[in-house]
Amino acid sequence: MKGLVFGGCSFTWGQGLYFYSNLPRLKEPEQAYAYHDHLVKKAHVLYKDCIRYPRLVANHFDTYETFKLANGGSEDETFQFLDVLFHKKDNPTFGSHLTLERMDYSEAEYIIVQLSQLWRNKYYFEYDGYRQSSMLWPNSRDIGDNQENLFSWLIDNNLTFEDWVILHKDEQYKRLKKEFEFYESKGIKCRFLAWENDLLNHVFNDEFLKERFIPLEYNGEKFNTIRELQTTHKDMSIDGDHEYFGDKTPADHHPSKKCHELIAKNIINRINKELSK
Amino acid sequence: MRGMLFGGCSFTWGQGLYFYSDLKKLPYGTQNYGFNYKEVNESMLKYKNAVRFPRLVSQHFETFEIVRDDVGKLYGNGGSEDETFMYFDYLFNVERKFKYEDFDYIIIQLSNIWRNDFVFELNGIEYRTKIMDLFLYDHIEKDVIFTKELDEYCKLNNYTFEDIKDFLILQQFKRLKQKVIFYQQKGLKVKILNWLNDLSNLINNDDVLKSTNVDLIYDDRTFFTIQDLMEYNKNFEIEYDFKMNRGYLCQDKHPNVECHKVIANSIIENIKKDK
Repeated sequence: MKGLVFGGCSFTWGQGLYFYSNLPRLKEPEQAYAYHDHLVKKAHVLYKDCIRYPRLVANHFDTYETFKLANGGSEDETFQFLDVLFHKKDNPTFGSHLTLERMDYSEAEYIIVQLSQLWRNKYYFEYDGYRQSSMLWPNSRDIGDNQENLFSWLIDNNLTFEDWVILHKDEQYKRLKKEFEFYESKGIKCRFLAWENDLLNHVFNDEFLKERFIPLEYNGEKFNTIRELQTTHKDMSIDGDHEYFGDKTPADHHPSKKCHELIAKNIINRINKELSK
Repeated sequence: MRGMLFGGCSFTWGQGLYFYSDLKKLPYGTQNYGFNYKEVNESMLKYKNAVRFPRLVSQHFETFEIVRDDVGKLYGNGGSEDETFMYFDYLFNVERKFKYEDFDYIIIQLSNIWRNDFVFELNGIEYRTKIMDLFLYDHIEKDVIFTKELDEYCKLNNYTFEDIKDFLILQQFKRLKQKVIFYQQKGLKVKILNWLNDLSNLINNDDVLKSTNVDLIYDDRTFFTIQDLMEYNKNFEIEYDFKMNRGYLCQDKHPNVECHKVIANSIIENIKKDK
């Protein structure tokens, strides 16, 4: 098999997995989703790389995995990463915060994207004579990036906030499909899984995306999102993994080692099924 | 388990393993023991990293491995014990991204002994030189071999070339033992793998080194060197494997994917006994 390219946020990066090592100098963040680069040493980073699901999937198929360097992210960043990886061969330092690697289409077998939280992606609009972007969350309407201009733009266009939510989801759905169609046209199979359910209605109403979606099966139950899995099974989060850590678990909400193994298993099963056809 | 640090030559680096990938533009006709880094791209490097024995061992123990290379740098191939120990020193004392306590194991694959310098003193000055040009690899081609100072040193002390060879073997043995003890004192467990048998007698007669030695286990037999293993099963050589089993030429005499698995399993079983 050729290489496996992964996209995603801190869930794919493997935040918190270093707590499963017995490496020295491990420090917990003050808040469960927080990440401070200076607290995580090179050995911690390499350790989490080897037990996160991209490595487990790649190991299973005796091949290698590629994922962006930076922790966190959104689909904006995922597709920027793919763009740098595949299209910036002539500019080796471009996007160095994302990756220093470069690949040809022919070197990748699959692109597997973990959707993050939709509201981390920028919404672009024309206002005041130039193109601008805004980033805000529906449940905190007054907090965000460039929200004043976005709200003015909504008023000018006679749109409500609820209309904007629909527009933003629609943009994200179309972008996902367009990007996947592009890479599929280059011979790379695209698959995806989801942390949140923000886009799932769109996905299930679109045959192209629906057949590329990987739900998570665990103990005979099916979960469409990692969120759902973690809510039902507390040990799928690091801070709920009492079986491994005992009473005092690290303060980290990210997927546990067991969760990474489960995600890997579902991706492997899916690929195996496709290979056997 | 904490990390595992590997040192070695092209056998540890995984030269030629990319031939087992489905990648395109593989440099079938140009490799052998030579190596042209311009023909091996990043995907090939990442592939061979994924199937070489350091990765197989570290993944078994669910930890990370460090080998002298990185995608994008391309400088990690080949080597000798001179380079291996220089690299370890760089890692801990110059680059300092790691501390000794980040690792549980150091695994050293001994290469061809003649790739190391012979160190001698003449008129109060320390000199270093290769003494044989056999088995050298590409990027030390320009190294000076058997200098006029060494010639003078031999004449002065009435040493023959055979004497110098013996001295070099002894130097390498002593350095290896000194390094093993040093890393053990830092809390690391050390394992040694042999490609060739240059040091076999000395290792087997030394309690410290013998206890670190990893025998290769295959087909219910024990092999002291990778060379012995590859002679026992010729399919373990990439070139032979491709010629006999795939019907085409692939000029590379390094261990194949299966051989890396055997080496990995031997190390894994050896480490399990430590627990």
